[in-house]
Amino acid sequence: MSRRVPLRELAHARAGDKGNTSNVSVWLREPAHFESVRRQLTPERLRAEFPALLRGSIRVFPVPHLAGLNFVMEEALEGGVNGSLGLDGHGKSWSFLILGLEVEV
Amino acid sequence: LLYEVHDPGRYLTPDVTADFSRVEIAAEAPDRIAVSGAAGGPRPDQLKVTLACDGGFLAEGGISYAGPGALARAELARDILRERLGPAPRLDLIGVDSIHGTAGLRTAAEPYEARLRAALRTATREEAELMLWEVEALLCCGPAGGCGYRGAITPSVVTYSTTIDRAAVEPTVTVLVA
Repeated sequence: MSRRVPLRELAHARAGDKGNTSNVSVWLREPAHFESVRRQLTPERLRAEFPALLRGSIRVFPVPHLAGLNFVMEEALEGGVNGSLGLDGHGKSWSFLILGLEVEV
Repeated sequence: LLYEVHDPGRYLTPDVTADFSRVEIAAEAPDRIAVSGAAGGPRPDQLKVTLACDGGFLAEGGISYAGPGALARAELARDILRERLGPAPRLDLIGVDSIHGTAGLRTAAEPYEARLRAALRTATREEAELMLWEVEALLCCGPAGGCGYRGAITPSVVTYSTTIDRAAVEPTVTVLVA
């Protein structure tokens, strides 16, 4: 019987920025969850969840042997650290944007 | 491991194209890990460049509301600023929608307090001051119980990223002491 849980229950994450590009690396605590989460957390899913924020291309680089997924999201920081008028121009909290998504386990 | 890294197999540095994709991490002992497997390829022909340009002035001001109806009063204050200042300023409610608001996520429950934050980048200090006057004026001419106004104007720098041929760069170091 599967259930839906916030990704935060299964993973931790770290956000970084380069200009207006955000990268969020997501690391599953249990390697057993990696393939399932990888299938559910696609670039298409991210774009569909946050279309007003994630405006550019989205790529994902898997690191299977460490149960990690690195999401690289262009035009995703409302201008970036020196361009955004928002408080979080680095997108440091984008890690929890991703960790708030629900996945089936 | 992947902080500010895009393709883990191809991270550009001036000296090497680093490959973190096969890094292994093993627990060796309590509070001790072994990291191995980092690799690299030839240094890139292009160097990364950050261009810094004058970004004018950044004005930021805020005013808070607390107690019964705090959110509604803060939202009314935001509507007032929007009507008087037009579309240019970013207007956030801290504690409600200031961080992930663009993504469509905001506080679901009624908060006890909310802070309206206005931010604007301008070419002139006068335009920046005008916005702060509008925020401060909410203390007397806005929704009831507005408090804690703060405002600041800071010169701002905006940056752009690009690359340049390594051959076009001649490294020199200049130290400026104020």
